[in-house]
Amino acid sequence: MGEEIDPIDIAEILYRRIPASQGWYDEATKVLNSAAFHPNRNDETGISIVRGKYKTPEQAAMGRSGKTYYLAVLKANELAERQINAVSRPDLPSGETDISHAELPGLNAGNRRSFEVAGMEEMLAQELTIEVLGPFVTPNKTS
Amino acid sequence: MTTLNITSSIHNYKSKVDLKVDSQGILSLEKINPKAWQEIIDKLVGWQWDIEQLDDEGVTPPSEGIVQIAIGLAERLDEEGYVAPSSVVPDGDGGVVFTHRNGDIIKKIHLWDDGSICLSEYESTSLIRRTNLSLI
Repeated sequence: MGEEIDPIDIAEILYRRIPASQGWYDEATKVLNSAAFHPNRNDETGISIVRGKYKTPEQAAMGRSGKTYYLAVLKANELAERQINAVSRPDLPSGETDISHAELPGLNAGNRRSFEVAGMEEMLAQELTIEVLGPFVTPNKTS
Repeated sequence: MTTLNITSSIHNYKSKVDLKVDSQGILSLEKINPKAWQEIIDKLVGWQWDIEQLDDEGVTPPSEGIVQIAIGLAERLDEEGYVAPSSVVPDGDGGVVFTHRNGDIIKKIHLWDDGSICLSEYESTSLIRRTNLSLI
């Protein structure tokens, strides 16, 4: 892998998109379940996040047509203080490019069941998420 | 890692109420989980009937088999008198997570996509212990 293009600045705001369908965020209690940060088998190089400098919250929350999403808001400097690395990854596995796409490589498919990752997931949900935005509904596509 | 009998591993779940001392030193009983197991089981059965509700971008829903195991686990814990969890959610990777919150103490029973189960115990977001469980 080459040199990181447009590295994430310490002052940046980052978003983690949370599908409402999973029940990971309870609006009534304001509790965010750490499953929102659990890597899945496809997160080979890390879980995805969106850089706030390139997208509005509404844009960052766009997902599947007709579905609803929340955004967990994170600060790059606070991640760094907890030794959670955030890196720019504009090249998507699909072959497309998205300058706003970034990842947390420390939480990935290979280590998703580890003791260390379970601790990081909880820290991200309970301590490092400064607020949860939304809900945002992705409009249905019109042909 | 040690595999333990689930009954002994989650002994703490048996407390229906929790002792709490407030700032004036007054001892009180606090109901630590008002939700009933039936609510949790009904939610899992709802998934079983319509697993597509959990299909979304970037996640893998649990299979029907995993949901069935989750229902069996919930029924077993209910029968044995354990306090119901605060929530049950899919883990986004084919598994299911039961979460029990009591102040800073969080306990999670994670049913992984391969059917294995572990209990994780947290204090103030720090994971302090993880134990593999088996249904005997």
